[in-house]
Amino acid sequence: MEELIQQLKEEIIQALNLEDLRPEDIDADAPLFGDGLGLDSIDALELIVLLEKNYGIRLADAAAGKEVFRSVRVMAEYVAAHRTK
Amino acid sequence: MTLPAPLYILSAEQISPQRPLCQDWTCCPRYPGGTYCRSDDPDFRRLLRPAEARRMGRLLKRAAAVSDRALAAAGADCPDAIVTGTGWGCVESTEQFLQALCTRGEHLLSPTHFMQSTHNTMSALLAIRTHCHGYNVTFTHGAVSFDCALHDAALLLREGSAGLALVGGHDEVTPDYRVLLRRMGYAGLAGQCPCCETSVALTLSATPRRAPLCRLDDLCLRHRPAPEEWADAVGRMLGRCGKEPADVDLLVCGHNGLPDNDRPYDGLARRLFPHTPQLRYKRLFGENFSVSAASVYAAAHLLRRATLPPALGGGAPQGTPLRTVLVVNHSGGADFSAILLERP
Repeated sequence: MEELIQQLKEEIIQALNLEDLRPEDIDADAPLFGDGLGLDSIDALELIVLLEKNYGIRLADAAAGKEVFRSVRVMAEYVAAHRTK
Repeated sequence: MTLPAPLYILSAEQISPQRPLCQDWTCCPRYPGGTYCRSDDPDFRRLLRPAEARRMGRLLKRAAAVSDRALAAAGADCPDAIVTGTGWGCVESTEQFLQALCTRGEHLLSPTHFMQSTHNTMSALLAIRTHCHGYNVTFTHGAVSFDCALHDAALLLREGSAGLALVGGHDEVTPDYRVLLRRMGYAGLAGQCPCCETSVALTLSATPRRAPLCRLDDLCLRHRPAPEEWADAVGRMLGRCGKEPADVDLLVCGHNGLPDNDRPYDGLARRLFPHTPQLRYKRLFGENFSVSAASVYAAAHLLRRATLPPALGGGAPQGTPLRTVLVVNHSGGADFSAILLERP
């Protein structure tokens, strides 16, 4: 799981162009939206694309997306359970 | 005779093959070689907040940086209007979006690249950054885009709809785009000055405010004029401003090394300005759809200096005083523009 969390952090930094952040700067349990990384709705769309492109996961339900993107750890657990590639 | 109401260029900034965000080109100009030369970008991390810049493509960063500097130099936070000219907009983002579309289909497309792939992205971004809720227009008329933007801003100021307009000309040239431009016979051809990139922002005001760079007396645009009609139009514009051709101290013109392009400039010079020094600005700024913005930028700063720097030559004796400068451009023999600038 820790390896997947590290990989997701790197992919998030690349996908969202968070140039000033390193993976170790991201708290795996901190909220991605709002107080934590401070991401917004466009970032949510980028993360949906990331999940489908890299892990074959299609998020069609907005409510599910809100839960999946609660933190990097939650995201990693969801990826581990649902990935198709 | 009623002279056209003068307008004032308060400030102008550039990112191009020249050293960025400064006027070093007047004393130590760079002459880009080869057929392709990208802009010398400043360190954007020092100019833009990372959180803000992370969603900007390269051209947006350039547009934001030159606009910030131009507004600051004019002592303004928010313009009344934003008018931008761009030939192809944010090409890099468009390419990334289209490449993803080709390789992955309509799914899995980046919303950021999609948002940036529209032509009016720059004007919209500048409006958001400056909190400008006023007039916001982007002209995408090929190589006359900036000239149209400047013309529109001048009309807006003269009718009193705005007091200060932020006018820009922005184009980037990616390696793939450069190949297309060469195939189109537009840029990057043998014998032609190199295909380059331009980002210029200037502030245009109805009042001189603090020390303006220069006055914009008048400008005229012509689409496919008959032979001699362009020179007639230039002569009439000078007349409207109470000038004779002999009053023009410097002709800033868009020679690019190709005979078909250069012929109209030579014809105009022969007929109206046989003894007027010329600054062939594309030797400094290259060729692209927004490079005419660099001609106005260069003329405005030369007028601020009041003399033609020896480094730029132009066939003028050293220290030739500059009071009146005429900027002339045309695109493919179709769209012609003339812009008369003067020391305030």
